Amino acid sequence: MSSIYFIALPLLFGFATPIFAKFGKNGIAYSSVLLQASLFLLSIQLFVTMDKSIIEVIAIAPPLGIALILDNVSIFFVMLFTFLVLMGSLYYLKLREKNPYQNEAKFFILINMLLASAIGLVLSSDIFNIYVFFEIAGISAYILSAYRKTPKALEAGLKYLITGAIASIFLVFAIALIYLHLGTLNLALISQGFTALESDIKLLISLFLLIGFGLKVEIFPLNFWVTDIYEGSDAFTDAFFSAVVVKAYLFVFFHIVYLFLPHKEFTLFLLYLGAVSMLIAEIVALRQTNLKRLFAYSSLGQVGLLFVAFSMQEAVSITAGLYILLAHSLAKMVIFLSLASLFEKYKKEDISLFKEMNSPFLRNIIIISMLSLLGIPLLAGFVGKFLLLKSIAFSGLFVLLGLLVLASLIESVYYFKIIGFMFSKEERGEKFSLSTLQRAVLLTLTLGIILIGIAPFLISDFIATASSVMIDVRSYQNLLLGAN
Amino acid sequence: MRIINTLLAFLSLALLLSFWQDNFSFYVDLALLGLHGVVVGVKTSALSNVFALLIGFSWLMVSIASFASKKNTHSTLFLWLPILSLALFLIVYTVDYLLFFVGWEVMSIVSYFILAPTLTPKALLKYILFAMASALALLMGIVILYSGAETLLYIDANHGFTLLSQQMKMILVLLMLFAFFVKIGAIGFHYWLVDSYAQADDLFTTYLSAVLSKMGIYGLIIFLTQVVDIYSLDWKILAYTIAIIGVTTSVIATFKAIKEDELKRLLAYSSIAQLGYIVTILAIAGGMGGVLYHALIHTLVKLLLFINIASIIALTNRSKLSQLGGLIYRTPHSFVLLLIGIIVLAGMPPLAGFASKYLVYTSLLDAKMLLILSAVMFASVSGFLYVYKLIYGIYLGHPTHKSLESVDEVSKWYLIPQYIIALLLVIIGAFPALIVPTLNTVLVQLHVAPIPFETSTILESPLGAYNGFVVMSAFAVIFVLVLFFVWRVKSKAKNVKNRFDIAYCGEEPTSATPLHYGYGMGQELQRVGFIAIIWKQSSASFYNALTLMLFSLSTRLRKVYTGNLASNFNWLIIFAIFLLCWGLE
Repeated sequence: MSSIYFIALPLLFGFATPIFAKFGKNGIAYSSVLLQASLFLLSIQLFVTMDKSIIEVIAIAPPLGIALILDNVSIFFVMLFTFLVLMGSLYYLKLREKNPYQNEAKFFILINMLLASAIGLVLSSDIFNIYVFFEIAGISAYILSAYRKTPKALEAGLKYLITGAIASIFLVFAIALIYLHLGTLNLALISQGFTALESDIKLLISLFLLIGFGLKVEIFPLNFWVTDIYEGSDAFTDAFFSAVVVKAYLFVFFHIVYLFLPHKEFTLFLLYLGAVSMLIAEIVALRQTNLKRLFAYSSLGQVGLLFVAFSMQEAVSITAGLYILLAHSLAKMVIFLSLASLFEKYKKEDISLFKEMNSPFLRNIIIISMLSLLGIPLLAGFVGKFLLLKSIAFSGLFVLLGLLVLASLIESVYYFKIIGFMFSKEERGEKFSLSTLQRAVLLTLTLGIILIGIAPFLISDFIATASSVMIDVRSYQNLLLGAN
Repeated sequence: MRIINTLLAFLSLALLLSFWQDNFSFYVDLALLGLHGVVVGVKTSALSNVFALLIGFSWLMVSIASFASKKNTHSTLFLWLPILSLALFLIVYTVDYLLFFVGWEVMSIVSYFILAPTLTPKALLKYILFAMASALALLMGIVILYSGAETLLYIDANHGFTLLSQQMKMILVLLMLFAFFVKIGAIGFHYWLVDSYAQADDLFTTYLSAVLSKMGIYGLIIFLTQVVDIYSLDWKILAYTIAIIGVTTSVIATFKAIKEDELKRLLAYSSIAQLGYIVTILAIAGGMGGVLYHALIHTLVKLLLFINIASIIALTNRSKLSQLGGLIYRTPHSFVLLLIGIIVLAGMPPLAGFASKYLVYTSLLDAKMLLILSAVMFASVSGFLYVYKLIYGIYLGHPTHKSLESVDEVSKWYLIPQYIIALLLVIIGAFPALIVPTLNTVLVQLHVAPIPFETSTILESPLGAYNGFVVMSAFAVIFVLVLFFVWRVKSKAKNVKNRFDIAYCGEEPTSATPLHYGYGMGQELQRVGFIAIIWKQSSASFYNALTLMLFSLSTRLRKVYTGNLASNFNWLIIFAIFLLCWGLE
């Protein structure tokens, strides 16, 4: 039953805050970190002790009740999310000394809700629960983005709320249609019955699903809202949006695609949609001067790349996708966390911040993260990118290959513009050094990037199994139905 | 730092020479990464040894020269130089395209960090964007080749290449040529090169010109001979195109060099021109001997010249020909060394440059490519102008500033590497076939005809031979005679204390009255129509237009993201309608 903990404990944390508040000023903060650390350790322990690909299947009151599956691929996401949220929270322990959020108890509750819902999205194997976690993740994200209550933050929160609501409407329509026609919400049962549906209904459901999730996974042209949200929110919360929330939505979306919609044409459409999404995001990012917007566009570009990787529907390309996802999460976490400190110190969010920045440590780790995002060898980003390009070439999709390479080239323009600013010979601002804890957090993440880049074989077995589990629809169905 | 660096360089060179004959190989299977059956590895071979020798030697020379400057002058350079050299060794020793790409990218990025402190932001961005474009083209090419061959090893790549469709072959060849031409700085792709060379740390420019540009040549050799088989009939047009690109590069770069006033820019263009010769004969069957010979000589001579220039810039703090002059009396050693350097660069007998040019000419003649041969000769002879300008501008004529009259000879740390290289160049000049056996092992490895070899003094070619030792002896006799007469004349002349005042009648020359001849040398060529065209044209306008286009596209696409939620939902509706129509189809 341990997979329940990943969802239940962070959600219950909210109810327990009055108790933790009794332990003094830092009670809630430390207990939140403690909770996340123990969840991370729990996921590690589950990973280490797992003998087969399946770790746990929980089905409560099937076929309409709750079903959770913790298999090789979901443990990957659970470990990643708990690790990243833990790192973020540790970082915040120092950040809050200078620039705390108002009413912190609420903030910690929201962060834990975000974690619980992201994990819930990954573990759920019935579409109604997916909808519930979709909403919980949405609500906590809306509030987090508006948390500072500045005009921009409020605008961001409102926009996020409206788009999120529209996404939910589409999703709920899709679910209603599915339930109406198939009488079940269980993913396995839906995937079995889906092919037998009338083609019009299938089309309508696919359309609703694509738009509902498309808004959340930030794919072109449904990603118009993203940059405003990133700009309005704090850099600290952007780290979670970019590294955790989007990844959870992406996983669920592709899980559903593999289960019900593995048509060749649709896949091809998603492939080119991803490539176009990447290309457009990178071109638009060229002229951005606001750093949060710039990295938001860069996130959109990377999501496009991930879209391509997952749409290929091959074990190798999914492996590539998981590597890219991992590298992107680590790198974006480093970048947004560093930006949170830098914004607070230098009081500007402009690209010229990097000219003023005077901190060799931050400079080096930001450069390493950016190079990893660009897919430079010996850093984490290269492994995934090479595997992806390889599997695209093997499928004979050379136009797609060209598009991705072009997008990468354009991406390098603005990354190297930023790196050039860091070497600018203009006068630097005040010297800035982070606290030891913050350094340790950033260093851990950066070392992760380097380690994966130099020795990808350390995790290659695990990721290869995860990707083969993710693509293997038949055994997923059997697993879920067997539990019933 | 620099001591460690020098030791490392020395160690790598010693290792290389002591294991010259030994074969060493190391392979790794990438099945762990999900790439089943893919093997990567490193292996020593004759070709890689020769290129590794160039790397190790240049590294050592640059390191020795660095002792001349103050302790922390080149700290960034020495932090990265060992890593850069390691990446270069990886490039030359690997037997597969994956490690080649890793080395290539590390080379580009590490060079970026070395260049970053000294370049202007614009030049820096230019450098890295070309480097990234090159790397991405290479990556795309590798992936396409991989999809045909299902392996990344060079030895299987040829088979994989033949499996590709004609169209893909063409795309692949274009991508790879682009990747390597950018590094070499072939004309049109040299936009980044001159600025980077001119603004880099003086010693790093030496390394850039001597070694990094050779990596492009190495890549071309591997790709064109191992993968494409350029000398076969199917690729005749491609080979001819490459030869024409090479020779065009040489001609244009030579004239650009003649116009330059800045020392390092002049040598940068000269570097482009010399690599142009190499590219030209690389495309010709029977030219491989000349390629290797010229690459070797060019590495040596560029080391010599750039270290010489670096020493002059360090000594006088001036980097333009129009600001220098008359240094022969103050720095006689440097003068003699530069003289040796330019004789080699110009390809004149009796020094080593003639031997390599001789191979270039004979291989072109042998292939009956007379038009290209005449263009190469034209460029080569025109090259005399800029090498003369170089030595005249710095050492001869009158000094242009008082401070030039009071400098001392350059530091001995600059002179030691230059003397070593000069000695090598003289030895190779007298014994031009000395290195032929080594080169022949490479030629055998590449499956091309070796250069005929009898004794080390006679360099043979299909069209005849020349005896370097005899030529050298004749020149030596004439030189001694001339020196004797000069000494006779000189002993009667009166030594003038202050040449500066005599030359300028006590006036101080300003930039408005540049009396130094080096300033305008070669400008009269303006009257020749096509040279004026070369001087006026620049690839800058093309790249600027490209940037502008990209930026305006960016501005337009930005309008998709209006920030106005209401109008944005139009996109959603359009998207939904599109999907619906597409789905109903």
